[in-house]
Amino acid sequence: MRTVLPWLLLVAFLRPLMEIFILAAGEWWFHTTFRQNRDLFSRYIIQITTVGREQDRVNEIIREIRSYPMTMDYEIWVTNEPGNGDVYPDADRVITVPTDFSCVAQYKARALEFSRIVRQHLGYDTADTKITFLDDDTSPTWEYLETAYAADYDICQGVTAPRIDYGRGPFAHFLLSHIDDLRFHNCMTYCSSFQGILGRPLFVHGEGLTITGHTERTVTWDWRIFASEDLTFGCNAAAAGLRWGFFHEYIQLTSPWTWKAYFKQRRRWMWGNIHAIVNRDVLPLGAAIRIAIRYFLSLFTFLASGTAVVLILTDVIEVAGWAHSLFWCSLVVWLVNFGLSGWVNAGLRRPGQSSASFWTNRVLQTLAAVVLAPITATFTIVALITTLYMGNPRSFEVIAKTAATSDQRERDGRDGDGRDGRDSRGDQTTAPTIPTARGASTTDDTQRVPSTIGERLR
Amino acid sequence: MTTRSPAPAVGSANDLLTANHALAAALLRRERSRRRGVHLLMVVMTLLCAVTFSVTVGRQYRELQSTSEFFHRHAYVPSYDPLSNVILGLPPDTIDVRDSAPAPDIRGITLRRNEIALVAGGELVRSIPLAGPVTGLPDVVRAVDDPSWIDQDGHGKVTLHAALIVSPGGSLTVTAPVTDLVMTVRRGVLLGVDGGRLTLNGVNVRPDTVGGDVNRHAVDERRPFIVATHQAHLAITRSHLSYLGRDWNSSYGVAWSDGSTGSMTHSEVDHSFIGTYTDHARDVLIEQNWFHDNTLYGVDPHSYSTNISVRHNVSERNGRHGIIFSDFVTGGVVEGNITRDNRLNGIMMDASSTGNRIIGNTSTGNRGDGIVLASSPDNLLANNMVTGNRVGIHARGDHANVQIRGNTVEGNQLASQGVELAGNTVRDNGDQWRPRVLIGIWSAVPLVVVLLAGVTGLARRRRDRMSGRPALAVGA
Repeated sequence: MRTVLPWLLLVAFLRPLMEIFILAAGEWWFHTTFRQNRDLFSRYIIQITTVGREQDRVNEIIREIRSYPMTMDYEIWVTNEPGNGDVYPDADRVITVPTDFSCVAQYKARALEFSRIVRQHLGYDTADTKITFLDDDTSPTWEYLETAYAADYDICQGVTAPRIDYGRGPFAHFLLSHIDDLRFHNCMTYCSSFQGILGRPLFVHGEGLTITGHTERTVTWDWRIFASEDLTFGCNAAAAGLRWGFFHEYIQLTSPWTWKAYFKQRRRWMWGNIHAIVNRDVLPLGAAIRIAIRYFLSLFTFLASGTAVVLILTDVIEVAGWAHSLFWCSLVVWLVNFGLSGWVNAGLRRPGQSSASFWTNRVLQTLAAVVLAPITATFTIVALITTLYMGNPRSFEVIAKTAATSDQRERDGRDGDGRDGRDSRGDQTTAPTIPTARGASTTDDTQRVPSTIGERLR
Repeated sequence: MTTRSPAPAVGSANDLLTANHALAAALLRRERSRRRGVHLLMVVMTLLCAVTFSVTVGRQYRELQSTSEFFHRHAYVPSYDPLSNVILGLPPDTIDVRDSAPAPDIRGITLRRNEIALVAGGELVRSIPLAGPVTGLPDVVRAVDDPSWIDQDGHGKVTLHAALIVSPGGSLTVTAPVTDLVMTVRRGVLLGVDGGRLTLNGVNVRPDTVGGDVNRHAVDERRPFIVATHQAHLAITRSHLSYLGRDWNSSYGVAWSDGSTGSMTHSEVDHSFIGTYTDHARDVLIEQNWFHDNTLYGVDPHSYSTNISVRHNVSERNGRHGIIFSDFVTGGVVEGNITRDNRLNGIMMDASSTGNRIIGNTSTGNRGDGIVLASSPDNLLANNMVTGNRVGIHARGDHANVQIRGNTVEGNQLASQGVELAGNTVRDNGDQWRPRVLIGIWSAVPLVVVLLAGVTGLARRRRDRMSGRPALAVGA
C-alpha cells in the first residue's frame, strides 16, 4: 500500500499540470492550424433558440449583434415555443414550433429539428450555409461570429465564458459565477484539444455551436433525447466523419442566478449525458466511452487527491521529495488556471463602466477565483453527486437567464419548471409552416412544410 | 428576406472607405496581438516546463527515512543505587525498601582499607582483617578463600560469584596477572566502587555466559555490570568489557555516578546495554576507546554530569546513538570521535545539555541524524565531518546561541533541519539544487523557444497555403 497508493494518487495530483499542457497544445493547434475561408460560404444564419420567457434578453442579444460591423450578409432567426413572447422586431425570422410538430427528439432538440426542416425547405441545407446557434443567455462577440462564419469546418465552436454579469451580486450569483470558472477552464482545455486536435469532442456546448447546412442535414437534431442535444449532435457529426474545428473566441453566457436554478441546470446536463452515454442509438460507442471516462476521471481526481492529502498529513503514506515538488507545481498551476478563468470571465466591460471600476473588478474577481478555487472545485463534484442523487428529470428544465427574470420566477414559484419543448408529441395532423422572413418578397405569410417523416436526409 | 450587410450599411463611398480602413487597422492590430499571444504562450509553457524540471530533476532528492527505535525501552524507574541494594541484601529490582525484603542470595564482598567483609542478605557473614592494603585481585581471592564467593583458575581468570565492592578508603587494581574477570550471571553480582578507588588495567570483564537475546538481557536483573558511586574513582584502561548491564538505574554496563570521576581509555566495550554511562559524575575522561554493538548507546553522559571529555573514540553499530549527552550535561567536550552506523544518531546533545563543544568528529552512515541538538542551546559544533546520515545537522527545541561552523556536511539525505549551515561546507546532500542539471535545463529554454517559434511559423505558413480568405482579413 505504501508503494502503490502514492503513485496512484500522484496521477490525481498531477491533473492540473497535465491539463495546462493539453490547454497549451489546443491553443497552439488553433493558432497554427485553424483554417478559414470565407469564400466557401454565402449565407449565414444566427439562430437563437428560446422557450420565449426571455424575450427582452433575446431582443438585447439581437440588438447587440446588429451593432457589430459584420462583414457578411446574415440573418437572425429566433426559434420559439408557442405560448410565450414572440415579439422580436429585429429578428429576420421568428419560428414558433407548432404544437403538433412531431419527431423523435423532444424539447429543445425538437425545436432545433423543426428549424432544420424549415432550413431544408428553404434550401439552406447546403455546404455554403453557416448556422450559429445561440441560447437566450448568450452573447457572442463580433469576432466570434466572424470567425465562426469563415471557419473551414463542417462543425466548430469557440470558448464558453460566463462573462455576462460575472461575479456580480447577489451572493449566490457571485459564487455560482465562480463555480463556472471550471467550465471555462474545461472548455479551454478539453474543447480545444478534443475538438481542435483530435476532431472528436468531449464537451459540446450549444452556445455558439456553428455548423454548415450540409452538416445539419447529415446529422439532424432528431435523436431520441430530451437533453444534451448539443453533445449528441457534435459526437454524431464526428462519427459521421465531419470535420470538427475549435477557435479561440468567446461566446459569453450567464451563470445561474439561484442555487435552485444551478442544480436544475446541472441535473439536466448530467442526466442528459447519462442518457446519451447509455443509449447506443444516441451516442456512438467511442464517444460514450470518452465521455464516461471524463466523468470517472473527475470523480477520481477529487476523491484521490482529497484522500491523498489526508493520508499524507496523517503520515500513512510518504511521498518522494521530487514528487512533492511536482505536486506543488501542479497546485500552483491549478490556482493559476482559476486565476486565468477569473481574469477572462471578468473581461467584459459593461456599458458606461469606468476604467478604474472595470480593472478593479477584474483584479478582484481574479483573486476571488483563486481564493475560491478549493470551494468551487469541490462544489462542482458535490453538484455532480447531488444531481445523480436527485434522479433523472426526464425533461428539459430551463432556468432564468437574467436577474430580472430570475426574480420574477422566484415570485411566481416556477423557476425552472418551464420547458423548451412539450411533453406531448401527438400525431402531426397538420404540416408545419415556415414563417416568412420579414421583408421577404413572398406573397403568402407562410410557406407549407411537408411532414418531417421521410424527409430527413440521413 | 432581409439580410444585413457589412457595417456601415449607409454612407458615402468615402465614409465606407474610411470605416473599412479603420476596421482593417483594428483587425491588423488584433492579428498581431494574436501572433504575440501564441509566442507568449510558448514562452510561458517552456518556462513552466523548465521550472517543473528544475524542482524535480534539478534538485537532489533523497528519501528521508523515518527512524524507528531498534530497542523499546521500559519506563525509567527511580531506585536505590545498586551498591546500596547489595549492602542491604535487597534484590536488584528493589524500588522501595519498605516493600522489599533482604534475600540471602544477594551477596557482597566489600573491600575496606583494613578488612574484607562478606555480607549476604544484608547480614555480615564474615569479616576478614587485612594486614595491609591489597595489591590486587589475587589478594582478595586468597583472603576470602571461598570459591563460592570468588575464585581463580591460576591462569589469570578470576570469577566473581558475589558482588565485589571497593568501599570508601579502599583501593583495588585489577591487572596482571589477572587477565579475565568473569562475573556469574546471578542476582547481585557486580563490580563496584563506593567512594573508593578501582582500577582495571588490561582485563577482560564479562559475564560467565555471553550472547543471547538483548531484549531479555535488558530486563534480566541477574546481568552483572560495573559501577562507581559516592565520589568514587574508577579508571579503566586497556581493557575489554562486554555483555554487561541491563536497563536499570546505574546498572547499564560501566557507570560513574554521584560525584564519581575517573576515566576509560584504550578499551573496548561491546554488547553491553550502554557502553559507558555517567550520572551526576564529574571530570570523567573517555578517550581512545571502541564502543560497538551495545544495545542502547555507546557513550552516555547523563543527568548533571559535568566536564565529561569524550575524545578520539569510535562508537559504532549501537542500538541508538553513538554518543549522547542528556539531561543537563554541561561543560563537556566531544572531540575527534568517529560515530558511524548507529541505528539512530551519531552524536546527540539532549535535554538542556549546554556549554559543550563538539569538535572535529566524524559522524557517518548513521540511520538517524549526524549531529542532533535537542533542546540544547549554547553548544559549539565545529569542524565536524557529517556524511551519509539521514539529516546532517539537526536542531530542534531551544537551540539559541548554537555555533555551527567549519563543518563539512556531505551526502546526507538532508543537510540540516532547524539550523542554517552558512559558514559550513555543504554538498551533495538531499534537497539541494544540482547546479549542472539546472544549467542544462535553463540553457535549453531559449533553444526550445526558438524551435517552437520555428515550428509555429512553419505550421502557420502551411495553414495559410491551405486556407482561403480569413474571416477578419484586412480589407475584408
